Amino acid sequence: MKDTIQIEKLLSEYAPLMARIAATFEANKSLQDELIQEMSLAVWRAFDGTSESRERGFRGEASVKTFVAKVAHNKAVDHVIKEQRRQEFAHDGEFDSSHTISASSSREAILQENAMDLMTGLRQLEIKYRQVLALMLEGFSQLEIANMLGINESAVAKRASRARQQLTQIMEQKP
Amino acid sequence: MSDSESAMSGNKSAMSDNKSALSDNTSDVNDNNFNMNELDKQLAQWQSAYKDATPSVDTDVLIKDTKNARFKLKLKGAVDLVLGLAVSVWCLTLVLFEPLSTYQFLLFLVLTPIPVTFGVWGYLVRQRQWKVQTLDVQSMLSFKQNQLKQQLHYWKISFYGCLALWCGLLALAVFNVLMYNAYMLWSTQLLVNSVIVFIVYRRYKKLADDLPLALTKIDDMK
Repeated sequence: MKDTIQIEKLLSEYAPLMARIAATFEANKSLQDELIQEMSLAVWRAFDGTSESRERGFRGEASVKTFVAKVAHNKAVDHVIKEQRRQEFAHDGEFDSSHTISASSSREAILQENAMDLMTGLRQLEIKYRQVLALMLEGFSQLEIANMLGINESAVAKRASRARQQLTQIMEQKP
Repeated sequence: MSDSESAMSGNKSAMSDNKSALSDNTSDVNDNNFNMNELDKQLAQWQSAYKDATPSVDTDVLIKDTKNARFKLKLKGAVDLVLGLAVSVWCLTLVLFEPLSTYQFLLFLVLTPIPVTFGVWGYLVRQRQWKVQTLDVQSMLSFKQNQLKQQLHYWKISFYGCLALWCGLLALAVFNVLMYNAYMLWSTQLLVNSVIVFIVYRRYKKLADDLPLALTKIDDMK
């Protein structure tokens, strides 16, 4: 019971992080919601039963945020693979702004427009670049990203540089 | 004297060149700093925009749905195991306590461990799939590639198995048609089983055709 409450707290705390990751990989709102739930379930399973989870899931080798982000990214990539196989994955899907906080002023409207442009641009990047950049935007260090993705730090640096170049080009091409 | 003056003049010229080089270096460093600042500024702007793009999530609903999904998952796993165990126990009861012919005895003896083994295997596969979610992305992608290869392998074995059974059925059909003239019964059985063999073959062929592209797509994500 105590574990359940702790996991619920954890899910509440990291729901925005999972939602951002889901939005980075899926434009369709209903699929996005499904993906967030799959991420939550995977995180719950990973933390399920403290002693059990020490054995197979979270081993305390990383911060909780890093671990949640890793599981969420795995689920997101898994989702992309499944959607590719179903051939229903829409790369150029519209970002549904109705589920973000509605803008109350022109400044907020501009911020939201920038946010939408960024997400649309991010979704156009190749998965390997998108992952690195999304994790950088979450504020993770290169070492943390390298551990999460299972690649070395220099590869992360190269991908980050390439991702930034590509995203800059995409953003500049926008009308 | 003249030589010394000339040498001094050369030194002055070299110093002037050094100053110029130093000035160029300083300019390069300033340019680099400027570029780094610009990059940092751009990243900071993107970070801010990324946070602004956070979709709103009803965490209460999310937790409730996740709880339900987790419960359903556990229930499904338990039902699979219990059903497998129940069928195995029923087969074992027949083998141990019912008067059976030799063929029936052998059949139920072979059948007894299959349902419970299948249930345990399903449980282990699910556990392994959950464990994969906690690995790094590269390892998860490699696992996915292996999973696709294994899937093709299972369908290949299924196809050969179905084909072997169909050949056995054909032999029986030929024998029965020739001996007892039971044409309708055996031709119907052959036809029905041919459809099954064809479906399994089509599935295997489709997976085999799609596999290289699927593996390449996963490779591209690595």
